[in-house]
Amino acid sequence: MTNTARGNLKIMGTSSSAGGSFQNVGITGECRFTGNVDCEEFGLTGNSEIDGSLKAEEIKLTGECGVRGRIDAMSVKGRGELTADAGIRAERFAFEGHVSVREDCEAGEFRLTGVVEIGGLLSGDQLDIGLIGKSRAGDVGGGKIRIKRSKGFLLMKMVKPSQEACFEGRTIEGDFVELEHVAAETVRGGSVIIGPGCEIKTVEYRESLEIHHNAKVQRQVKL
Amino acid sequence: MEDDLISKKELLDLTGISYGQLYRWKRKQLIPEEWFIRKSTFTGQETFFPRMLIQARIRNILNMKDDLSLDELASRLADAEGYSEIRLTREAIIERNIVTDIAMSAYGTEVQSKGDLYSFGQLLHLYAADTLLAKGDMSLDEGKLLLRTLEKHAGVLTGKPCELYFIRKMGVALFLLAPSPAELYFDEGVRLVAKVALGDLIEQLKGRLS
Repeated sequence: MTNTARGNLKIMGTSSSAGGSFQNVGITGECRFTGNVDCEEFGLTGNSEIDGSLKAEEIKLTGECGVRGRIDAMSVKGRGELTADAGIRAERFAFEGHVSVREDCEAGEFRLTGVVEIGGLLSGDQLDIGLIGKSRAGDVGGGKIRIKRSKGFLLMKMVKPSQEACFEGRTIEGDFVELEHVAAETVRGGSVIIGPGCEIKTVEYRESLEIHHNAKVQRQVKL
Repeated sequence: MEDDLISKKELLDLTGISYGQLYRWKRKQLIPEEWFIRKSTFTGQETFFPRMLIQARIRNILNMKDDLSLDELASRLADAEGYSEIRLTREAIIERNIVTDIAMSAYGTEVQSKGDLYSFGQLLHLYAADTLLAKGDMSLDEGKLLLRTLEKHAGVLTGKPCELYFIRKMGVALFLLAPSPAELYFDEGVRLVAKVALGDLIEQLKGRLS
């Protein structure tokens, strides 16, 4: 990375920018970028649209952020709503709220409380999802996968009884898989725990399998 | 085509790696996106890989991962440029057992460019000839024909998947280079002696070089 005079960008209020290379980007308010943004630190409180891709070491968000391209970062943290049309790749991803990605979302550590909508593959060494709403992903893969209802969901249910919290995926593959309220065609893994509310067509496992009595599994295969 | 693919399950069994490792390597771009081939089978969707390529790549990763970080590995594996810079002397090639002594003494002078150095492309051609020789399919003289074919046409096909066909009819040897996947049909008198994907050779050669 060239460090030739990268400036900071600081925005308060409503503004727009063409994007570019920065040291730190700080936004309080609203900002629209019409090109790619490449920076060390990206901090947002408010609302931002990026018409290109976002590349940063660290991304901290509070509010709404829409990226038309892809997000590449070491760490993404925050709460609110995040959309990326062309995929996310991050080492650490911790978010509360709504994440939607049209293509793949790949992370080292992926922690999310809320809703996730991923068109392609969701993968991570560690995936920890606390469900509050209806979530889905094409495929899920990784080392340790935990998809459960969040504790916050109970609160939510009191306020809005029609609220559902579930996850839908085609295949879920991992070395340790722990699922609750998940509907999937195939689950493959080393040790698999199928919790309450799951509907799985086929479970393939190597070491161990536990199935909760409130779960539906059509077929189980030991490899 | 079916034989050339390996399912993810089978791959994990064969290599002993875990799902976590596989997905991590994918994320670090140690395994190219295009190698993940989705197909529907009677048990549902499954992912397949090109058998030779992925096995060689995983062997390479496993061999190197103790010495290098994953990011260094990624740049080394993905970076074909790094290899195209390679220039090796005849002695180094034989010493490192990349190409056997026999192939080297038979063809070394044929492909050699300026100085006493061999480039990655030239090494690949030698390696191809060496592989076929080692299988016992090809005679030393036919190897020269192979090298001429490769030298003349491989340049056009750089970066594209392509396959080398070695056929024989009434004792006459013929070499064909075709972009893959291609389906070739021969008349009855033709015997297909060997079919080699250049991509596999490149991957194997990279393994030997690193």
